[in-house]
Amino acid sequence: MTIARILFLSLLLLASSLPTLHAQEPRRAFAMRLPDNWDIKGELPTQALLVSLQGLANEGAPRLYFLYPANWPYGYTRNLKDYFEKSYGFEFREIATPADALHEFREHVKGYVVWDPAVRTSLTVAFTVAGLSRAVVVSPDQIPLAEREKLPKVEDFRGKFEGKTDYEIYSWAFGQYWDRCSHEFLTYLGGVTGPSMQPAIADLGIYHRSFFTDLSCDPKDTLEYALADRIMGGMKPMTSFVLGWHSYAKDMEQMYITLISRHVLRQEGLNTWPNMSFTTQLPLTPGFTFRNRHAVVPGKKYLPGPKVYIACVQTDGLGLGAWLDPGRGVFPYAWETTDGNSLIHAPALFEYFYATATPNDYFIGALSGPSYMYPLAIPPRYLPGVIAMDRANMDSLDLRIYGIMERTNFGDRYVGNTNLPKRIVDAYYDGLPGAIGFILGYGPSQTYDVRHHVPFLSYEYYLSAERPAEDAVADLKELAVMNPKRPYYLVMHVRENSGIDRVRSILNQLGPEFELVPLDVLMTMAGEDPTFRTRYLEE
Amino acid sequence: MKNRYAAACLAAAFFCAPGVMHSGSGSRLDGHWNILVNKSANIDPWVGLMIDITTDGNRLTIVKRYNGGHPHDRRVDSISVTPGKTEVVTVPPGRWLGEVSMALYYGPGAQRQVLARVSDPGNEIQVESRDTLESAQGRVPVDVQDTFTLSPDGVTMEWRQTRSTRLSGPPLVYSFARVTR
Repeated sequence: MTIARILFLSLLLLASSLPTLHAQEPRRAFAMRLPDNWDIKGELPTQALLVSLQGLANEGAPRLYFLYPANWPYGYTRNLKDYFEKSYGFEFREIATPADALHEFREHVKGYVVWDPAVRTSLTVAFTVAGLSRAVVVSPDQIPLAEREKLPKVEDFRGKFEGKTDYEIYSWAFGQYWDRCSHEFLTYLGGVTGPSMQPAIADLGIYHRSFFTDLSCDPKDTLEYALADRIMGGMKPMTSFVLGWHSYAKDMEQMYITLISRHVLRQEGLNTWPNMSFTTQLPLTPGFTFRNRHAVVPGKKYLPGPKVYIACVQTDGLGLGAWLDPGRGVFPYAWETTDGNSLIHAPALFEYFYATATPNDYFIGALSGPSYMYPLAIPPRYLPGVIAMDRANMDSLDLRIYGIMERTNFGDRYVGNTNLPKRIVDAYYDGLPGAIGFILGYGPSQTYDVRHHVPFLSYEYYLSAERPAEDAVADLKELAVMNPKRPYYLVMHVRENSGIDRVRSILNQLGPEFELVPLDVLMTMAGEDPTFRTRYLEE
Repeated sequence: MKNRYAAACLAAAFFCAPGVMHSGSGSRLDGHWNILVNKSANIDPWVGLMIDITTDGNRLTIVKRYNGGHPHDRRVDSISVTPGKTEVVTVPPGRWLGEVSMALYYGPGAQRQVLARVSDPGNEIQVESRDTLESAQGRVPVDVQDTFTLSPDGVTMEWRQTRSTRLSGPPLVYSFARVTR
């Protein structure tokens, strides 16, 4: 039996077990509104207490759900609650105050850990303790609240880390806690820095008893990098997860994902991913199957004309960006999923997106593997197995187009390489034989191929939210001038914070030579009449 | 198509014309210039752009330093030529700095044909160049005209660019404040 087959069967087994794990759990739960402030000197102590409580309260069953502020990066918490009420039969009772919440869930809490507001990193370490000791995280001012519930103090970090570097603090925490933490989950509480923190993912990290950190993944930060490398090296490749996101103050996304990919771990969510200790326990509703909105009709020929065919793709994963935009569904839009992880961690979340998709919403697989990875960083012996995991996910989620991203040498839209050599392109063609097309990039890339009418394209344009519409229109027209053969296939990455009305306004100004088409139609036509030149990264 | 043909003819005529060279020891534009973002065409995704202009004997050097906001995200584009003489400049491979959000690249061994002129009073520099870029469909030539003009008070500079391939959109005009001379 091949490794790929074992992985495929394991995934099927896991997916099939999910619906039954908690099928008999009660449908009553509590909801609470979180304040819109994440400052250490503001409401962060309250948020930290609540999110740690959530991770404990939801152990064994989904019990506590938060309504995040309207401007939260994942803006769907109200919509998802409505969906859980309608489709899962939940009845939510609202809790008003942190004291009420702690009292309500007192039986799930075994103690409290005190963090030091003078040392931000102490909060990150406190979350590790919270998971291991089933303790809530409190600031010094909140100690009376915990003691009113007769909770014992399990750890007190006041003054303990004063004057110490993050490397020193995390080294101490590693020695103290790592052996007792799950080695299948690591939580990165990065994202915003300085006087704020947005630790929404902490409930899931606590739920899984993970180690928490925000160590730098920049090789130039030799000490922090070495410790991050050591921690990830202690996790099992292929099946272990890094939850959260890197610190914007310490390193770059491509440095973080490169290190994760080198260890063949699977990155999941952002630090702002909300309510995951709740959502992760919900199976699919009985009888639900994932059905993608394919525009291509089997057996029909799609012969392109002398046009510029353009298709829009929003990347960055479902739940961020324009999904809740009232304009969604008016014209064809493709949405990148991070298929592998969310299918395991949040089948109900995936169900919500599929159930609320319009005929113009088309899902595509992503991103380089069963999470967010860079293929050149994945050790070659693991790459076929990684892609095989995605083959199973693509089947489960009815996906036919696959997105890949490459930034191993820290390249991005500005500098460096984002292309793939032929051997990697070969691996994706071999590993995903059911795909009808591939797209490479985030910013534009320049790897192209076509095999047996299946195109491998790159993003031709990155539409940022900051680019004025009239400039974007001129950019797209200029691209059409610089690609004079017709048909020209222009796949446009729409950054998630670009509104759909803005995108429509840009598309409307492109003129009659341009034709907006669904992504699968574009891919099918590109496979029939490729006008792009085969090109790979030269190694 | 008509516009592209006209632009190509203009560029061809320019490259064939005799160069006009400023005979002075330097340009009044010499110095370090920092973009005034609010008075310039959009430079997204860059957040900063500095231009250094130096004249050393008969040699004119123009260096553009693009800054994406992170120390890692910096690019430099430079030419060093003798005004009035058509020269070939090697361009390092990488995304085209005309607009990095577009899938256009300088391939390996890319070259740029450049002819620069400094006006007689030294308050204007014109640079005509022909780049060969790589797009999804192969190699594509782009004729670019850059004009750098000093304001009468000498403290601001305007950079205006036209391209044979950009047939629409807001004018590419950028304002700079002098940082040092």
